[in-house]
Amino acid sequence: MEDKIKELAKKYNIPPTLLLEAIEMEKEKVVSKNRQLVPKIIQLIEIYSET
Amino acid sequence: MTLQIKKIHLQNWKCYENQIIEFNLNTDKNIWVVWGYNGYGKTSILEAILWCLYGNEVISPKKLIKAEIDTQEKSAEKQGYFYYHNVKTNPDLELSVSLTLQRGKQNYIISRTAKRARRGNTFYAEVSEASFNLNGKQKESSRERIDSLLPRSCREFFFFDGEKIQEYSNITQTQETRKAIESILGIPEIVNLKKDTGNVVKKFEDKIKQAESDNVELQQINIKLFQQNHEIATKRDQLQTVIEEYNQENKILDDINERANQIKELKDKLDKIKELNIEQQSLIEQIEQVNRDIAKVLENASIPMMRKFVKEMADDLQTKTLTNTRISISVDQLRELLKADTCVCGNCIREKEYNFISQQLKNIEEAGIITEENSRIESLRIDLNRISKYKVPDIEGLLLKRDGFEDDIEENKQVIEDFKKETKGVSETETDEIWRKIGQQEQSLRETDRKIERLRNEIESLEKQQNELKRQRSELLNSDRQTLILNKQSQLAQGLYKAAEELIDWYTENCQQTIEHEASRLHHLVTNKQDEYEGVILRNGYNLRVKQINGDIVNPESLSEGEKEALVFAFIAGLNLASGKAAPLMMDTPFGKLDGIHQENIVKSLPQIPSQVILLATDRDLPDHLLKALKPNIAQIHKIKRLGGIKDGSVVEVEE
Repeated sequence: MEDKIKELAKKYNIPPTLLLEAIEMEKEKVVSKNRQLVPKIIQLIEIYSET
Repeated sequence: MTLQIKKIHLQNWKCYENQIIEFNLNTDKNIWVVWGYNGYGKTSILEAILWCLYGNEVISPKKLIKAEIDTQEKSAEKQGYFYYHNVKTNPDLELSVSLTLQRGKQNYIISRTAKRARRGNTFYAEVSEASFNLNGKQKESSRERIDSLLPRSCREFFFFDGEKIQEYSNITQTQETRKAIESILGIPEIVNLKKDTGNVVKKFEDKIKQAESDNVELQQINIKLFQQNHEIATKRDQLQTVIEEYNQENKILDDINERANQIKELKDKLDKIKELNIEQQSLIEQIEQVNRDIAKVLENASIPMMRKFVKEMADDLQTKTLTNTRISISVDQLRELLKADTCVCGNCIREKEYNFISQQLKNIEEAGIITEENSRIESLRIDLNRISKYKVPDIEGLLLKRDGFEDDIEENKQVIEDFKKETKGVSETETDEIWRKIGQQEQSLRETDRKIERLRNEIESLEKQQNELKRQRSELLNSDRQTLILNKQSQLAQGLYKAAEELIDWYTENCQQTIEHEASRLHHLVTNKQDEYEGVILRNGYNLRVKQINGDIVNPESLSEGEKEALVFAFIAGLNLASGKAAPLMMDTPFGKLDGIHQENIVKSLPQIPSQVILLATDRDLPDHLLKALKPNIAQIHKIKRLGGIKDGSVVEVEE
């Protein structure tokens, strides 16, 4: 799975850690009915865009 | 990383007053055995775990309490799950089950309680919601959290009752189970990621649109982009429709080709019918000829019988002919003698002798013309000779020949009948027509193909224009710092979205392949038909099937119960490996329906399962030879003992 994540990150020109972090966030909230992760993903992207 | 049961704490649960069962996880072995005779409390342990995790779904409150108990009535029956010995002295008894699980550094404690409560003269069970503690912190949504660890729809996979194996064959076929399996595999979080990042992309697009609202050039580009997107979407729809058309037409062509092949075969038969008809006619003529020959033979049937008589006649006639010839020669000589001047002796013939010979000659001439008679006789003799030499024809041969021709006719007739049946409905015109149709259909397909090519080229061209517009848009956006950042963020969001989209498909397929591969490997170890089964395959999601060496696919419903158990066992292992989470596997009556070979195979394969395995077994489940085989991989053996006497309870002790 990690190799695939790296491959996709390279293909779509995104940092692999961004994808990994987003997946982790989803894992933690997978049991919740109301995840409210969109703002958090936006925040994550904003952080990565500054680097 | 494996999820393992570390501790079970039972209070006033069935025959356990206050029992802690601890599994020492500091080991590289993966098998624990809880040993006890029938009725000692093995199944009670399994029930406790299930109730702790899933509550009323597995044991209803009514079942928990079973019936009202009047403590003053000494003859009241023992029922329900509350430790009866204490119920007698404390009607408001509380029972509880607590489960401690460990995965790496994560510690989960799940607890549930139930209390006996009075309502008038009756009691009922008040069951609490389970509590969920992670690394010392209480968490909300305990039900969902438990479900994410050990999904309820898959509980039969983790808590395995060998007596109920017949229920397992269709277990993976419900939608609920499918979702639960995907939950174990970790697919929902990636699906959610795609959904959420899709929304994130839209949010960034909105922000960019807002920032662009003052920039006329950007707005114009956006309008063009919007129009182009719409045009590309329309072309794609058209392309999809044309592709479907092509596929339909291709199918029609395949059908026509198939029909053409059938007709070609049938056409050959039609030609053969013609040939056979001609042959029939010739055979009929030959039969007629043979019949004529036979008739002729029958006409002359008497000749052979008269042949001897005719030969005798011919011989007589020949004698007569010879005699006549002799006489004829003598007459001629006498005529010559009468004409001659002298006699043969040199003397003259006297008048007396001359008159005598003349009179005799006259008598002969008057009696008949010898020569003519001779000729007639000779002719007759020749005819008779010919008749006597008559060769008897081979009538038997003729009859056989006729029979042979009749058989051939009959055979041809049958073949013609058969061919006619097979070629019924096929006409000469159809055979020509079908090739014309093929030609037409191929032409139509070529045209559709060209249409598809054209649409694809148009889409490609539009996409190129679109990319160019996007590049221009990017340049404009990048010229302003705020929009530059927004643009970058939007691109990251889009990248994240596309990556999630591709990851779902890849991951789902990868998991299925892993499950199949690992399940097949384990199934091969466990099954008692190693030379018949090739492996385990999944159909339409996670429906289990067994593939045979000959390629046939077997539905588990048709398997014996032992084979079902082997299959489910293999699937669980495959699922655990595919998920990378390796949930614990607790097996009550582990070898319920298995034969000796299956039992031994499963025992041998248990160490290979990447999970904690807890066996709740009697001596019948684990006879000495199996226990001995298993021992090198056993981490601990717990033994259930009865307290005896009035206590009516059990305890679990670690066997040293």
